[in-house]
Amino acid sequence: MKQLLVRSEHCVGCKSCELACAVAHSESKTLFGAVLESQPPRKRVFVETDGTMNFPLQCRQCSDKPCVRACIAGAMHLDPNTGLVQVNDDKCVGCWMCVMVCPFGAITEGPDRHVVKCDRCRELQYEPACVSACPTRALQWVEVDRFAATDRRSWVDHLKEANTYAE
Amino acid sequence: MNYVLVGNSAAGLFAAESIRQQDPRAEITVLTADAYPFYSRCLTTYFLAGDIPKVQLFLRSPEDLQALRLRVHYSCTVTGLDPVQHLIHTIAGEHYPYDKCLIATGASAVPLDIPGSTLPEVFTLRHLDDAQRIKAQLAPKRQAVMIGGGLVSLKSAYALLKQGLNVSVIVSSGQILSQMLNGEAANLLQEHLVSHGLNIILHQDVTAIEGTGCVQGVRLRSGRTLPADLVIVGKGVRPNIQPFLASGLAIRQGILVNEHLETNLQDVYAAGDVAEAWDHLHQTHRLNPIWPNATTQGRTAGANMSGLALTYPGSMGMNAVDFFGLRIISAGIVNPPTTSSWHVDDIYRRDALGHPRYQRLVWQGEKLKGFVLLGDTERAGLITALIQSGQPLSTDVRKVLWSGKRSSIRLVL
Repeated sequence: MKQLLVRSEHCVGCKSCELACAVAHSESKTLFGAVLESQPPRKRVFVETDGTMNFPLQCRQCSDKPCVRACIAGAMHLDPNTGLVQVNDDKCVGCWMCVMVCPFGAITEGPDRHVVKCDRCRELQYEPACVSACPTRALQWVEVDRFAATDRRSWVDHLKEANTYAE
Repeated sequence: MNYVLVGNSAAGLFAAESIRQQDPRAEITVLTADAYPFYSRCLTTYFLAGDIPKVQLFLRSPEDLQALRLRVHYSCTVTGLDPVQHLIHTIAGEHYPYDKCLIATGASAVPLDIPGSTLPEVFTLRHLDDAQRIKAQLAPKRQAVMIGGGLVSLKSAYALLKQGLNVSVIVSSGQILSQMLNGEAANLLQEHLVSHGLNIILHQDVTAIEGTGCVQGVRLRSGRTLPADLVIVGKGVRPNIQPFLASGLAIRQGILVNEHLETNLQDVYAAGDVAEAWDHLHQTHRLNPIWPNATTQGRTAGANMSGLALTYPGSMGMNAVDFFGLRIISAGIVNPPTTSSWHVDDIYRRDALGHPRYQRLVWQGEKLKGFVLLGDTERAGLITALIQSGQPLSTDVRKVLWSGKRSSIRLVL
């Protein structure tokens, strides 16, 4: 299964992902259309910085799912088809219990007193909009194995370099 | 394996789901005093307000429940537990044998014992039936009195205001939501509620409910009488421990459980509002009757009953409310002791539209022990996580806690 994985060291803090996210969750799915909509669309990814490091943060799909257990309305649920935690807008009553327990602060308020969070662009049937928009590939939509393989390769390169230097 | 779960609310159902996940062949029997399938008690005030239809209270579809293959016995009152014979007794004289048993009987609303409290329009709000009976009484311009300033009372008041009633809340202490908020935050909320038409009377008690045959008014300690057509009593809840007092279970206010949700009796577990679990902030066993604690405890107990060894990290009090768009989330200790190791950081301001923004952080030395966020609550989860981590926080983290940035807090953790 593909996962949304982050190489924070590649993130330059350009916020292209935030913009693409909001547009992908708009009615019109275009930037100009989105700007003119009566309910401005909400982004579900937040690029933040502590001055030295940038980090695009969105729902991390926690394995213990505190938001699902905090939800009094059965809206926050595990989608059995995809294995992803998703919000059912028809059930959300806006009690904000999930906001209270999300350890990443990744759940936010949407229109009509519903919560919104990253849904991995389930409507797009393609890779998430933030990934497509990321110019530095800090955001990747890949199998964990491939991500790890890339890591291993870069580690081998690193070792080679170190050995060359030692010689 | 034969599992008997006593109770079919948050803790009971999450335990059942957890057991089914571990043990596809388990026999799971559920005994519940309720007459309805699993529903969310927390949604009853939303139903009262007319925000959601009744069907939305039932959080699991009939198909979901069918897939769990539970034997649910409705309207079944449990009267006792025999730990030697491994039996649960019911009021109908039945005996259910168990290999593993979970007590998740929840809590009941504390009734009011004053003259007139048996009049037909005096309610507590705990069950769906309560909500339906109250809803039948709602009509614009009727007079409603809430007794108590807690969460159920205020959420009911909010629902009735939305339905067009005139609503008064009578509070014994000097502030509303005294379990959840400190005085400053409570005052800001009170100001907001009053601006939306709620009548709040502090430092006052109801000494009698007046009326012959039906509620006509409530008499206050001051001697004053308020007109009333219906009364809702919100004086808190107490755990449903009565059936188990003679069973040998270790009970204080609730049933004492260890970090695996086991009671002192072999093969007997407890979870949810009836359980007194470890509170990692107060460093003692304590009742924390809120939905997320009940579901987490139910899930953990169910997993452990079916052979896993999960550890429950401990409870803490927390809650989130939204009244007419004013959002408040608080967690942990909000009114610290006055000893020198404790201190608070408060910020208060008004935004450009004049709406209040308030933040309180409660510290014991370098450890964060509680918070109140009023107005802007988006970072609540991060702060909750910092409290739950139990770690002393560096000066850097304490500084960025003010900045309102998500990842900066995560980065320094």
